Amino acid sequence: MISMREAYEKIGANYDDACARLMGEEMLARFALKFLDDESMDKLEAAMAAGDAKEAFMAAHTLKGVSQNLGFDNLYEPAVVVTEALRGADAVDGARAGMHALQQQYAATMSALREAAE
Amino acid sequence: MLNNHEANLTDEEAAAEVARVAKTYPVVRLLSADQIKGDPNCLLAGDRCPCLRQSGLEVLAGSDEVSERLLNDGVEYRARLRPLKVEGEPHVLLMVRPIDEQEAAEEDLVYTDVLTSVRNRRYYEEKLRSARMQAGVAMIDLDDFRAFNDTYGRHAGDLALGAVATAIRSGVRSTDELVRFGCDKFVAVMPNIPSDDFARRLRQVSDAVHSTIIPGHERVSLTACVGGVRINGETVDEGVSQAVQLLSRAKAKAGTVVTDAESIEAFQSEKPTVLIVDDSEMNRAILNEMLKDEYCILEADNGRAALDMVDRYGDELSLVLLDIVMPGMNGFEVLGDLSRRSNIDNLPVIMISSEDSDEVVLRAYELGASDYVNRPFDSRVVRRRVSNTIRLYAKQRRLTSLLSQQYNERVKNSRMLIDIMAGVMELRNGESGRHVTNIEKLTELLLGCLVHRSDSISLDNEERSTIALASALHDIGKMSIDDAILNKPGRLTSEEFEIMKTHTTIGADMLHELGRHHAGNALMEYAYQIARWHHERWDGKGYPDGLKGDDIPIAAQVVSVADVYDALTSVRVYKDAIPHEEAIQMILDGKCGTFNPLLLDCLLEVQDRIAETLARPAEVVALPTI
Repeated sequence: MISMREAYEKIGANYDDACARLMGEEMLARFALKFLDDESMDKLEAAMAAGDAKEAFMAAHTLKGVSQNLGFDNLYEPAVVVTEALRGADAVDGARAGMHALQQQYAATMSALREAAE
Repeated sequence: MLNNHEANLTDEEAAAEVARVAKTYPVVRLLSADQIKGDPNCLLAGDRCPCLRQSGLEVLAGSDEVSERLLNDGVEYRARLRPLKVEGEPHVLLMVRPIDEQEAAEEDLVYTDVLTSVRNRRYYEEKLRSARMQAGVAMIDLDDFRAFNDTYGRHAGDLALGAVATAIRSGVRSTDELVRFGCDKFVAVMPNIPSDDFARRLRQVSDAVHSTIIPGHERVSLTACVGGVRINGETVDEGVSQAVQLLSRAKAKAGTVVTDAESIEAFQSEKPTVLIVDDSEMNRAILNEMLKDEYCILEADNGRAALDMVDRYGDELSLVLLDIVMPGMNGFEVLGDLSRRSNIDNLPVIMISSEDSDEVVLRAYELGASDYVNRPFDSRVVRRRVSNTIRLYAKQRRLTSLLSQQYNERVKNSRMLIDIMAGVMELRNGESGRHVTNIEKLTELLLGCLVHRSDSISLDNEERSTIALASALHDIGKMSIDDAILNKPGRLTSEEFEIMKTHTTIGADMLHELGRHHAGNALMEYAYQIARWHHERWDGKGYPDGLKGDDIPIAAQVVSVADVYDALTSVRVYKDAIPHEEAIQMILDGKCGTFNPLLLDCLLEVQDRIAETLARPAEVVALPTI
């Protein structure tokens, strides 16, 4: 079990800023843990696999917005890369390069959040 | 001197002083510090009066003589508390007597607001402000009173304030204090009131203000927002500060009452409703959490669902928070749809998006968004923007309705004046009571048709109805024509006819003279043209100036056709009524002089509608003979 602050620091996310924006530590913790149930990464991976660029853009865009709101800067940055690679694209290939970094950060974020949730 | 702490009296001297003041004060007590601090009840009236102990303590603590006014069993008393030392021990000399009428009247005058007859601010500052008590304290603030003042004038504003004060009085108890706190703000202090009764009375106050009738402005209704708190030994001023905070919450919607005692559920129904549209559940949850204390929240996860919500909830919605990038219908499409349905005028939309390129932001504004909030959400910014926007729109809605109320009232009033004048003229001219009305309706019909047919004549709705209104004054010059000529049953001699013709120039001169202060006013301009030239004819054979063709202003041309038609179809002292079809034919045949061919086309086109539009005899209200 680690604190939410420790989880944020572990993955390189901005805890203090998110706290100030989102009505304090308690509320932030609630929202951050809710991210464990967020489906946008699953949707993104499924759309990438299916080659559906439009659907993939939508999912990447949502993931970008959510991670920005929660102050997951580490996740937000690769999400921007993938989103922009998919914006207006007909195929998903251009985004594959960015997916690796995104998946890595996503895994790190999820694991830190799980630790905080225990 | 006996009246300060420095004077140290012996027991005998103290007894003498009590006896001395007892000549003017029926109740006198000499109280020791122990008595003041130890007595569990009020020094004068037991537990019915909580105020004198506080004053006694203040005097003991070293203040100068304190004077209080109190009410007991319906009688007002003046109580004075004077510090005194007896045998070296601090005492307070308490003296009480009923307030005589003169003293009461003088005091009333100083503490009464001239306009509203309730207590004034001075009373608040001197008597209420620092009083500690158990009471309900409410701030009552009239909505948009400044706008009312600006549009209806100060006099109406003063009348309204008086009426509102009376209304508020009716909602509170007779023993409660009511103060005019600022221009359009009142403070009510209700001692020892149970919380449910407090909330109920404040709603009564709000209802009473809403149903207040302002003398001379019966159609206008004012509203007031009320914020109320109960204080428990705090000062009234502390209560007022808290009430002001609640008031700012109430201000989101006109006529709202908010008290601290009300449960969240009770307040729920008064909360503005906000619709959150975002495809991410996470984002909706965050916004919901930020706003749920102040607003009722509805959520939609796509554009189509959002539009359905807008349709379903209509006016109940106060604001929409709208994401841009969504599957299916995106935020721009929703915004565009709302604009097309002109919902956007009454329903503010704040865009929420992580798209922050100038192009996207500008496009949102162009489509009618009120504001734009970037991600990441900051609760402080989101809350402030939402509340600002809602308040702005609420205010705008109230102002719009105030203005249209006022406009309609004005139109009604000028309409009434013109009808009265026209009625008087008809009486004098021996015309039936419908001549003026008929000419007005005919004029409007013909003008409507004319702008349709002509490329060169452009008159909008408002100009057309102004011309129609001005037509009521076409024969105003007949006022100064001798009765014997005006109502002569037989044919006029050529000399008499020359006199009759002057009604055009006389009317025009009258309007010119009387309307000097309205130079440039469209109604006046048209009325002048019509009065002077409604007997001119297209071929130049009319009077008084023999104008030809389009030198005759179009307003006068139209009224001349209308005037001729109505004269033909009406009974006059010198002739019977001619049937509709025959009258139209006579005009077309040039039996009444020549007219603009375009106008004759219009007359033909509207001839069927003339019969159904003009007053039928049964509708004519007989005017009394003078």
